[in-house]
Amino acid sequence: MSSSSSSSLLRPKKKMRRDNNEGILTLLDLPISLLAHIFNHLGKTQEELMNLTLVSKQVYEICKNERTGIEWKIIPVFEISVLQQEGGGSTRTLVKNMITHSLNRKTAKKFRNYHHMLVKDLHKFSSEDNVFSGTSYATDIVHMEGITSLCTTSSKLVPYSGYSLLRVVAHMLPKLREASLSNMYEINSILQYFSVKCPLLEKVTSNNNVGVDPTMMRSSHNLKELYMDNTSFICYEKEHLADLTNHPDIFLFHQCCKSLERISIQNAKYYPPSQGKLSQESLIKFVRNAPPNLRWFRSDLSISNILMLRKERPGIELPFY
Amino acid sequence: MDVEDSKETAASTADTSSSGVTIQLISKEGDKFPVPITVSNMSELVKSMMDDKDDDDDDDDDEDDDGKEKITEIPLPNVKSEVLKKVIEFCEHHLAEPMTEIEKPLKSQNMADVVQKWYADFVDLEQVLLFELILAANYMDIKPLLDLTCATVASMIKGKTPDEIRATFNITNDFSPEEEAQVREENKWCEEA
Repeated sequence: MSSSSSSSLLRPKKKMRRDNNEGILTLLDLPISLLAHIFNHLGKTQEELMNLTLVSKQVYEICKNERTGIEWKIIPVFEISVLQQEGGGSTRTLVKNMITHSLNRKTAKKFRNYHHMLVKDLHKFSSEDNVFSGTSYATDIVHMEGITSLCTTSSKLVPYSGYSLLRVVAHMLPKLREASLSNMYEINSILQYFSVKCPLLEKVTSNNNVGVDPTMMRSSHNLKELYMDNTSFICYEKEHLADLTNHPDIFLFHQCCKSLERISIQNAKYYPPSQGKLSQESLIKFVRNAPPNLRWFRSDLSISNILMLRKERPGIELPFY
Repeated sequence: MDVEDSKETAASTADTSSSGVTIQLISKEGDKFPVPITVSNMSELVKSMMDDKDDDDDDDDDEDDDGKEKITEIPLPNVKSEVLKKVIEFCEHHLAEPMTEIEKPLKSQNMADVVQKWYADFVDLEQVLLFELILAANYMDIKPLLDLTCATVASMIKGKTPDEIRATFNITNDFSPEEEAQVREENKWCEEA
């Protein structure tokens, strides 16, 4: 339901509602501009704002009406979570439900209003075979074109079983621009899926992952921001990546960094992690060869190497922590 | 509130002012609060009223015929004495210790985490007085006071459920269950699988 369509439906009959305190100044007696000034101090979380809209019709109107001076915006969320059942969440059930919703004109219309997708407890979704036989059908029908950002949550490392759900999601979100996919075990196939199915992807946050192969994102031609802290990377040409003299075309992210503007790989390790941290040479080689659009690179470069590289590439901010 | 006490407090502060120029702020009830011009100038309204008066009196000197310093009177018919006393207290303290700028969105429900302790204690008030201070700050155009009081009300909303917010401010829930469900759905679609 859009705010414009809901406005008339939810418009309060009275300007203000008070309980047994006529004559006493109450919050909702304040002029709308002042209520907006008060509410503009909120918004640390979306939940905070959503709770506010549920207080009363008058408060709802102030929050949703663009002319009241409210500076923040509620981003409608499409939340996917696990149905309390034995065996965890089911991707197949999700696909089935999504097809049903999409075939219903009223629901399909509603879906256009959601801009953010949240997948809760991804690790609780069970592994399912042949889910894609249904998915290919679903992807012809289910397109959530309003959704531009995706976030997954999991309290522990997500096993492969959660990946079928993410593949389905990647198919459904052709207009996705931001994805936060942290705590994954060998996320590569998922990165590849998102890279191919979500061509507008500009920002990927994927911290605490094990075994990431950056080349999997080579189809993400619009990728501008990449945050992969505490992650171990699969480096097939480990020696070449760190060779400051030879192989000038082989360096970290060399297959996917054409548009990158901001990268963070703090506490980056080789995969398997027993091979230790990414060498200073690989980090130096990346900065030296990074494309001109790179503006910010956060890594474990030593302070002396940062000072050296700041002179070589003054256009790149190299924060030191 | 004891208006006489407040007048004495304000007056004594005015006497110790180094600026020497005193303004009489007159409350809704007609009580007079003498304050140094440095304090009254925190209010953009008073400041502009003073400027207007200055223009009118351009050719006059600053003394009466008998040599006494003139005291300008500024009527504030929308501000009660009790509230004006608090406004003056704020302005006086702000001159000595300016308030830190309040970050938006608020990071904490506790105002002591947002501004200095004196300011957090200053707004630890009954709701009605707090709302009246908001109206006075808005009317007198005192931005830091308006920000502080509005942020304080926001801190009373922050982290609360809709029921808790209603209970805090005595607001009636005028949504029908269907309408409430509609708003919830508008904010968030919950798909379980």
